[in-house]
Amino acid sequence: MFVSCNKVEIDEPPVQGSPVFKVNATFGSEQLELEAGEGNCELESYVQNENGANVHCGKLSGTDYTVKLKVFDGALDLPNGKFQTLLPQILSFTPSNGNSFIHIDPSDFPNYEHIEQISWYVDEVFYGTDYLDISSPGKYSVCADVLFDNGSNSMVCNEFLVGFRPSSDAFVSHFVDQQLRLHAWIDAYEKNVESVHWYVDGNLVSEEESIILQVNPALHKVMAEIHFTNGAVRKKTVLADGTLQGCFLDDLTIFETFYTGQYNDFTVQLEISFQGELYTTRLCPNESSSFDISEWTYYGKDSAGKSVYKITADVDCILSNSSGDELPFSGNIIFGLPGE
Amino acid sequence: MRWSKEDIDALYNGIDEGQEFSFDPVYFEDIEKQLPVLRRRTSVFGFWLNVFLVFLSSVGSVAVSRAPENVARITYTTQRDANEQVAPDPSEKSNILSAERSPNTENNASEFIQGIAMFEEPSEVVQSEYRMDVYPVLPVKPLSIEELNDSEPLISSLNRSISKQRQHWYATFNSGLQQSWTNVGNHARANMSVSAEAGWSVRVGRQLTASAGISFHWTSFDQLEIKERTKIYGFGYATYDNSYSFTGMASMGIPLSLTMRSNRHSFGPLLEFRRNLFAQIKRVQSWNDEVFQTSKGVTDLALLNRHSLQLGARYEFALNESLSIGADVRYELVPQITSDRFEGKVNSHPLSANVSIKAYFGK
Repeated sequence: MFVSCNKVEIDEPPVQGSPVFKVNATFGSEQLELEAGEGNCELESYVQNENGANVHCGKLSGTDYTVKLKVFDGALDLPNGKFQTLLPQILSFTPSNGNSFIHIDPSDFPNYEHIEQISWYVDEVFYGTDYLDISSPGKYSVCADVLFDNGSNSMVCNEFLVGFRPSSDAFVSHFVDQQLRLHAWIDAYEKNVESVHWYVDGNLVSEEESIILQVNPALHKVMAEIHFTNGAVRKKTVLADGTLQGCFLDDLTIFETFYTGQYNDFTVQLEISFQGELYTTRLCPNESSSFDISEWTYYGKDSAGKSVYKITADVDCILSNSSGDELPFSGNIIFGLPGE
Repeated sequence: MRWSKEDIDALYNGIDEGQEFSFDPVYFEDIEKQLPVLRRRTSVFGFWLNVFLVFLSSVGSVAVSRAPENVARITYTTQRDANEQVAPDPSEKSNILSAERSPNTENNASEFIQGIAMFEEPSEVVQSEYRMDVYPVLPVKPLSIEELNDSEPLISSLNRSISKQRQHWYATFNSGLQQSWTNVGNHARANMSVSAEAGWSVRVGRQLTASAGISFHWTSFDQLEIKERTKIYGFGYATYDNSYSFTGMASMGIPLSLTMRSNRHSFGPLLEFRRNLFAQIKRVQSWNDEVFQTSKGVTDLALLNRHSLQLGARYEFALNESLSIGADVRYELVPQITSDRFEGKVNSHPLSANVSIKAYFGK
């Protein structure tokens, strides 16, 4: 009669919930309503890597419409930077003036007369010779294989943050004097350098803020691993000329912010697919559009076990398709974005 | 004088009201002299015993409500008319010519005395055989002559035995069906129940007995279920199913009853207060129709009424002096279920029926 003496609790009757993630807006002349959990509508959240930079995405897919929200990371050079804790209350739409974020011309180099050719490699892929243009934001590994007029050549690689504001800014300066002493130091405008590790040709030579080092008459790669007080770490490499023939290469990362002040830190893009066409805010002048966040809270784990944050915002913007047809979007969205 | 039944009843009632049967002990002395066979028996003790019995037969029933006594029923057979029994007027003077005391195995009396008596009637002297049956006391009221004559030995014995006990203990085992709610299809569904009851009963009148006790019940449930499905919204949706199956409930009660007895049959109303103790339950939880946890055990009665009140009627049939079988029907005044989370609904007329076997203990 009694199978067990275990106490079995009777829970309170569950409360029927309502959709968490949804879009309720007007798009053009249409009323756009999507609710995750209703009508085969589901939300996906994932981190999309675009040119080495993290883009946090949420995609709400329904039967007729798919709405995608993309938020660019703003802490690319912060190893401990948390997207979910740094997200501001007001986001701006990703700038889209069409200009290149980086344009490097060898003539801009002080020793350009000694440079015969520069072969550019972006993310280990040959890009071209002499000129380098980068028009998409991202984090790139840029290598310059430089051929000098004396026939010597060397490849110098650096990490470029393109279209994103560096969390810390410092540059390596150097020269080799007549006694073949290498002088190298850090130019930091914000005086926020915590430490520097100096490597010459791959060997750690100093942990001082600057070095003076006797070198032999050859080309030397001088790399400074700069640790900033905010936790950011940058590695910057220059080419020092021990032959004293002008075969050097300065810190190329100075071109990260050389031309433009547009940054993609925590900017957003909205994309809507319906009837086989893709509409996006990326191609529209959305400088006066708004994306006001009213809630940004932790929601839970997704099926992959990754943390998802819920973002609630009122959005007014313009989207256009590839044909240039523009449609206004105005309404409220509740999306899930991955925090990691 | 010819005696009618009314006259005999009057005689009997007269005894009950305190009239004494006139008796002269000298008669027994004469009888002893004439009946050698009785001489051995008619010792002083036997004499006074006979005197005592006769005395009891005449006065005992008067004090039937005060102390156990015997009552005598006397029948006479005259020689005057062999075809009919004629009883003389007890006020007439009579002379007992012979007497013999013997155990009674015929008429449910404990013993009888029989012999020959002489009656003087106004016109003649009648010699008649007589027989005097001595009965145990009937605490409520002595049976009438018709009742005694019509009684069967077993019933008389049982009535006498039970009647002698003013109170006793009893134990009862019940088994039955109850329908306190309707299932999904709103069809009344009966469920098995068993119970054990122990108590105490006391006679409160000639034929009325009041009983009170304590009972323990186990009611088996069938399809008393809660099935709740929740749509959980999130990245999409998931279904969370939570079901509870109540398989039984334990309760204890205080049954009160009042029964009216007639020979072997007893019938009367009953009232029972119940306190439900706990329920046996099975819980199954599943996500998207995949069971992830099953648990069994007991639970409290948060969704059931902790108290109930049943009103009904009970019938019992006595198999012998200490065992009876019975049946009862009950109406539940307080519904068992208080929550609307159950599938189905509470029966608006919850009935239950039980059969029982009952044993009596003690004197």
